[in-house]
Amino acid sequence: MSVVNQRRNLGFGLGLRTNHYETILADKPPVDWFEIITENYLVPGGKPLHYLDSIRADYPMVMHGVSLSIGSTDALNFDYLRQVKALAERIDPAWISDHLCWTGVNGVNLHDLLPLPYTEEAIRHVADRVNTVQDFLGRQILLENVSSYITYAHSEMSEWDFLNAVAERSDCLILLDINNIFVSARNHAFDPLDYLDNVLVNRVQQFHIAGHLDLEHIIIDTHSDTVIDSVWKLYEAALRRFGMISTMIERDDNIPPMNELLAELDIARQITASLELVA
Amino acid sequence: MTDKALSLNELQQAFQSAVLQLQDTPPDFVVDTDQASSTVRFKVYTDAYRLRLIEALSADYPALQQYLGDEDYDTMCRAYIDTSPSDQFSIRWFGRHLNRFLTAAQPYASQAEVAELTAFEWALSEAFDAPDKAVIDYNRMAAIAADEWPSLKLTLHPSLRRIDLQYNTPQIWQAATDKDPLPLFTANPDTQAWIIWRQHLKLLFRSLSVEEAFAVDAFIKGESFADVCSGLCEWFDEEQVIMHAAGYLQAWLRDGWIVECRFQ
Repeated sequence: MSVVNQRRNLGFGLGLRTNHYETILADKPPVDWFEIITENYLVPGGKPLHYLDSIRADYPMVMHGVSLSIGSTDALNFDYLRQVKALAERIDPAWISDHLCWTGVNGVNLHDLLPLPYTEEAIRHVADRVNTVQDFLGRQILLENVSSYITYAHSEMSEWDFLNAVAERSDCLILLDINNIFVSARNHAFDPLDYLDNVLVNRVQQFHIAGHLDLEHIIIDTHSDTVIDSVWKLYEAALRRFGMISTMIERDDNIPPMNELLAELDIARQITASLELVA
Repeated sequence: MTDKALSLNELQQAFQSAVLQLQDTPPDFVVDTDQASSTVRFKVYTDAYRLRLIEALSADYPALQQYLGDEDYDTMCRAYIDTSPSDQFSIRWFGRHLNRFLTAAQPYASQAEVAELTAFEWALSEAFDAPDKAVIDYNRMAAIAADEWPSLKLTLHPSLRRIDLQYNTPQIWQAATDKDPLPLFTANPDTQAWIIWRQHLKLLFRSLSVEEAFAVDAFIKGESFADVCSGLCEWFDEEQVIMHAAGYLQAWLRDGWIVECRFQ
């Protein structure tokens, strides 16, 4: 396929959440861009699309999906893809992302981002489907590394080798979730820096940062709290390796007022500034 | 021991079955670690599956949650989740079969008010993000020529939902929304017609008289103004029918229900 390399730096963004709609429209907070959950706007009309259009008039946006199920052995859902494409035509996002995972089989959706086994079979399967999706959408997509809680006995390689292989073979880009690396590193007892140091630099288009729930024996990726220091340190290491990458703070639960998220976003800005990277 | 030749499809089938059936033991391809057993690790997925769907139901059915109380609500949700796996790409639609489930499954089937509250809340949720459509104003209707009136048909706003209720369900819903103590459910002597719609992004609902409900339903079915007037003769004298029908149309214009006048 022929696609344009979309790598561009949008700066520092936040997830667009309903309880911030009015604040955003009234105050025009200093957020460089917003990431939307694609499925929240695949609805016929009403408030979701009204606010989406109004906020899009003032801010760049990217689309982040949770239902592509790129790793499922079910057929790709072209009804879903048609709706994603139509939404992209409506809001002209800087890019479209989803997750390197599967969400269900046999027509069932578990509405969870389930890990894939790191096998050659899975690489081939996913890469083929990414190619189909990119052809259909007429653009490169980004795939995000998910948090995982289990290890499959028959995985044949590390998660980062799996991620790189999918990106290389399908010519897609990577949304690197720094918090997910931290979570998975603890859950699977690997060094998160090994992960960072092995992801292909030229494939990374966006960073996610988020908070999580630490139960000691296991960490759950809840997006329900502030970003912890260890994740900020990992973010700094990521900036050193990948350069300034569009960075976004994900908060999906216990969503605080906008000014608290702006303060958190400022931490990301300060870390970036301290490294003298160009934002 | 683990089957090394397990295909991706076999893995996904086994994983999904274990989540849906709430298996105590995880599939054998899940590995223990020093920190946590495979059982503990896999339980993250079985728990998250149910919690996420319960959260989605709570977004659509907040009054039902308040009415049942957290414990019974949780039990009800888990029973629904176990009988109705999601087959939609968006979690937005997961709760659409809840009313059907509650009218069939005990102990809820013998509590008609529970199903009715569910039907009311789902109708609100459908009106919330139904398609947008511009409505017509008085001038459009005033421009209808006298000889066109009998054949007039209406297209009503896509957010409109007609619902017939046996109980004081809207009152219960309103109290729940206002965080007030819920009044008791009381049955009406007769079925009460209600209509739910969205106007300027705001969700609204109001009750309808038997006559107005007949007129709305007839227009929704595609009947003409002449047919509606003739039907209204069941309640009104012939010479007063047009005046009553015109009164309805005026109210519907005010409420933003009419998007198109058609003449066929």
